[in-house]
Amino acid sequence: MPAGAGYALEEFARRHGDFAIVGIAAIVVRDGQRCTLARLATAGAGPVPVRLRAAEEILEREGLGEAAIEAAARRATELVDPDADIHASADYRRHLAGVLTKRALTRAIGVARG
Amino acid sequence: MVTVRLKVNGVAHEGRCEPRKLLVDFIREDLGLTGTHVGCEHGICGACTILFNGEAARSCIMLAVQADGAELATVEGLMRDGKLHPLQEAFREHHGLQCGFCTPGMLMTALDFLRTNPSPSDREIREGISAVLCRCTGYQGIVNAVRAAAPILASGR
Amino acid sequence: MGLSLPRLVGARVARREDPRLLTGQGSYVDDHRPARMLYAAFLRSPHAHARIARIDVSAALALPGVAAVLTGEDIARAAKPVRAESKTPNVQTTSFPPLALGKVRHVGEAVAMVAAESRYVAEDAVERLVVDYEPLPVVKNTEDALEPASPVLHEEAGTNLLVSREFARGDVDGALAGAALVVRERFRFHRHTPVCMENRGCLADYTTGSGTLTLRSSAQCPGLVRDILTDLLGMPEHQIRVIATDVGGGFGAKASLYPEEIATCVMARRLGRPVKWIGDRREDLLSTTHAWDEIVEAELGVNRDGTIVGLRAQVTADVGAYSIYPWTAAIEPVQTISFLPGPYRVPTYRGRTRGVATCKAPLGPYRGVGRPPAVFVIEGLMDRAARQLGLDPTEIRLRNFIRDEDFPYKSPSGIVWDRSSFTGSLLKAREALDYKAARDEQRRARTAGRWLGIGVASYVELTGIGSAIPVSPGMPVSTGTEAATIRFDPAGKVTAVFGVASHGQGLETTLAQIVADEVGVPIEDVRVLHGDTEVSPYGTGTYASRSLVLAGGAAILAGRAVREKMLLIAGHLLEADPADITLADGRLAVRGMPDRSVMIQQVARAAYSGVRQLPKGLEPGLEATKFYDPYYGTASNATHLALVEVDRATFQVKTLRYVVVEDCGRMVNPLIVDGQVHGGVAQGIGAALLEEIVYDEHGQLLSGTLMDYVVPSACEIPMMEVHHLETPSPVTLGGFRGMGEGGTIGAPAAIANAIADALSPLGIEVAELPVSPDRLFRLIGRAGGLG
Repeated sequence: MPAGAGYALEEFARRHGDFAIVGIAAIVVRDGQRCTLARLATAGAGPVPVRLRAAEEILEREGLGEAAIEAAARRATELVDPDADIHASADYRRHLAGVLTKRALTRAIGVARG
Repeated sequence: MVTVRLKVNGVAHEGRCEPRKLLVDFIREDLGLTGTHVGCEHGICGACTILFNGEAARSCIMLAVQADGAELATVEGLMRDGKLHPLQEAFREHHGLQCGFCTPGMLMTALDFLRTNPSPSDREIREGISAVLCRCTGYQGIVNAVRAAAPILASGR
Repeated sequence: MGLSLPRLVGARVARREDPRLLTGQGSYVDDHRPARMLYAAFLRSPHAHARIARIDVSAALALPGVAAVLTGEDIARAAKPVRAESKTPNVQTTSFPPLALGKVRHVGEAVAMVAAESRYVAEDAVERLVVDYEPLPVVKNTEDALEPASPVLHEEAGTNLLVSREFARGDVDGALAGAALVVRERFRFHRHTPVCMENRGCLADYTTGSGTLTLRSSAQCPGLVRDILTDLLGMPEHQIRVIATDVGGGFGAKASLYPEEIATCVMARRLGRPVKWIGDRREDLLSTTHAWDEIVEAELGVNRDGTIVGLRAQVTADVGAYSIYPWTAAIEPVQTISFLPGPYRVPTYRGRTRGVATCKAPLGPYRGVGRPPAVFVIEGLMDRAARQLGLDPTEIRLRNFIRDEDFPYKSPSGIVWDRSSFTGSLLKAREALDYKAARDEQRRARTAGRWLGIGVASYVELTGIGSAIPVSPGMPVSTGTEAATIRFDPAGKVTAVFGVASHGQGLETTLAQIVADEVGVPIEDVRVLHGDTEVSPYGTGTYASRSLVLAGGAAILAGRAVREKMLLIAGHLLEADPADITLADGRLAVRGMPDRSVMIQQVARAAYSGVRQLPKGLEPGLEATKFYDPYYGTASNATHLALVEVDRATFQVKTLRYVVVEDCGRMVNPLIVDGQVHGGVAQGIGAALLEEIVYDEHGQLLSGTLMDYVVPSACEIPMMEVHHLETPSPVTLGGFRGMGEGGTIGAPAAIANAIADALSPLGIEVAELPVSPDRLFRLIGRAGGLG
């Protein structure tokens, strides 16, 4: 983990402590509002954890303002290909991926130094 | 067959069982300690919770052989000189049990939790016991009991 | 004759059950291990609907440690199939064989049984059983089941429509046609299951020498089980003993007779050795009776001022593959239409119900039986009417409640409400929540973009039911009586024996409170025995919120009889008129002359010391057995108020506050009453938000573990604020009313209404439970509320 990086893991489960329906991990290294490094990975939004590279690139290109975060979250929903099960449909998991990306990034940015 | 040597509630035991025998079955059948209960056999409900080398563990998803050389604490070990443990007293006073089936697992979990968090908020208590499912109490009596017991346990009384 | 004032009834007495349960000294079925005991395991059907062509048990029998294997044919030679008959027309009687006979009708149905030296070996043997199935088309839901071309589960019925019933009053069609406003909805209450923490189990022991059968079972109704076993096994009833040990939760799940109990008895009798079966959680989710699975299409007609002119509903219940004993498949669908009109003045009504068989586990009683869906429906309709009329939801209820001057009130289904506090409980609930402040908070939250909602649910239910009304209409046994034996020993201690079977509700404590008060001893001097047909007077068990009313009433009668005799004996010992004797603080004394007294212990000893110590003609002994039948039943009611927040992004629902004002008449132990409310509300919140039994289109159970059937943990349940009103029942001894089921009756509706209230700016109604975040996501998406 780079020095000064902010990180966050946002999970959503029906019940406290259960395996997440969707989880998003975010790492951010900032320089003011500039983003020198962004990492986003999913859990539960597909058969294996996935790096959301295209969403990361948005942040590294456009910075850490609200619009960029929204854009990254939207891109995340396009990048995931979730399965459905009795707990959640694919569409809802996709929706959650966006929600949790935004929340994870917001928290990670808040913690990051620089 | 394998030999399992362990301590339970401070007493040394030895038994022989198949390698596939679950720890909870070993405790209940081979050691005759039926206070620890089986609720699901897939590690969710927490009724089987014991202390394994001092930490809460689900004995239904452990094998007996894993306990070779270990020190276990079960609900039978809580009483001292025929008197209820303060945590048990608190459960009684605050109606923290109804059918009693989850209770041993709840007690051992609460004991471990209070050891690591001696002065918890209600929210922390709920998180601390969230690993044990109860269908009877709606958790209210349990939370009240753990809240009441916390300062007593913390002071070492 | 004077008495000490009631000391224990009404008091928060700590439970007598607790010391053994807290110390791991409970006596659940699985804790028993008699000598020579064998362990049983069942082979369960992987098919939802199939003919059984052949079962090959040879490989299983050949496994070392296996004592026997039984199939449906073997059991059929030793036991009759269960047939839950009904006296009501349009309820089909169908057979429920203990092990599948000829065909299987749901995934998880027991097909064969192995008895072996350990559960591990028994399961090994089960894996070696070979069954040739010929799959049949699966009847996957009620809609398909009612199609003319649908396969029929029970050939003898010739139809999958097993139950049909209607209650009606007045011209509801005319009333709705002329109503100022009609709100209508198609409600869906999905399938649930009780999930007792203790799985079902039983231990049967047949002693050849005496020809007696002892069955220890995790059962709520040992008396009922004994009754039916005598018929099914062809054994005299007095040779059968059924013991409900410590039972880890019931909630109705353990109130029915189960195939495994019968099969275990047959196996034990065949082998002459004790045989124990303990189900695992997979078996529980597959084969313990399921609940509340209904579609209700309902319409409520109101005047401009919100007063009800008519209620019309069609209920379709998915009753699964078998009709359980003794309740029959009718219990859930019929109770829904019985109680749909709720605590309101409903001048015209038509409730029609259907119970339809499908390839799923049988439907059975679960805390509230029929009433959780009924209240979800009527309380949902009331809120819809309120919203459309611009009325506050609590106001529309106040305008429609049955009022004090209306009691006794005959509901459209024929049930008579004796006296209740519908208005009082709602007003008190509003006050307890600080309703006005909560609405102000909601307005502020809405301005800030948060979805905060308040939901109300008021209900009434019939409890403590006597012989006039079968707990399940038309069911084959009478459930209207319980008895109590109160017996002093010569040392002055009391044993009180009952036919009820406590499984968490603290009857060893509450009944002891009643007995102690009646006979004037400290509670420590009373020992309550229950749940054992060998020692108890005839009774059926604990279910339907009846035990405290019926057993408590019998305790009062028996206690009075014993006390009367104590006064006669004391009068003889003190050479005084019994009418001049007072009983207080363990002492019987001549009124006004405290020095002329005897202790209760002296009276007890005299009772057993022969006729010279007794008044002339008085029989020795100090005990009495009395039976009590309250004949009708008594109303019990509550209002629930929930404050919830729906997360705007994830649609997770959080319950912020939960208020209950309940009236169960004269409370015996407020600690226990609170506990029953807490537990029921938690199950109701789980039912509304988290829990759902899901089958796929092949009849495979998808919610087969506790990861998939999600019961709430401590984090999902809020602190509940419970308040009590005490309107003593005018029709029961003691003024008690039953109350154990109320939590699940009110909570799903309160939560549903709160969510709809939170989302009302989007025009969203909640018509389906559970309300998962996924379901809300789709509802909100359709309403254009995403983004």
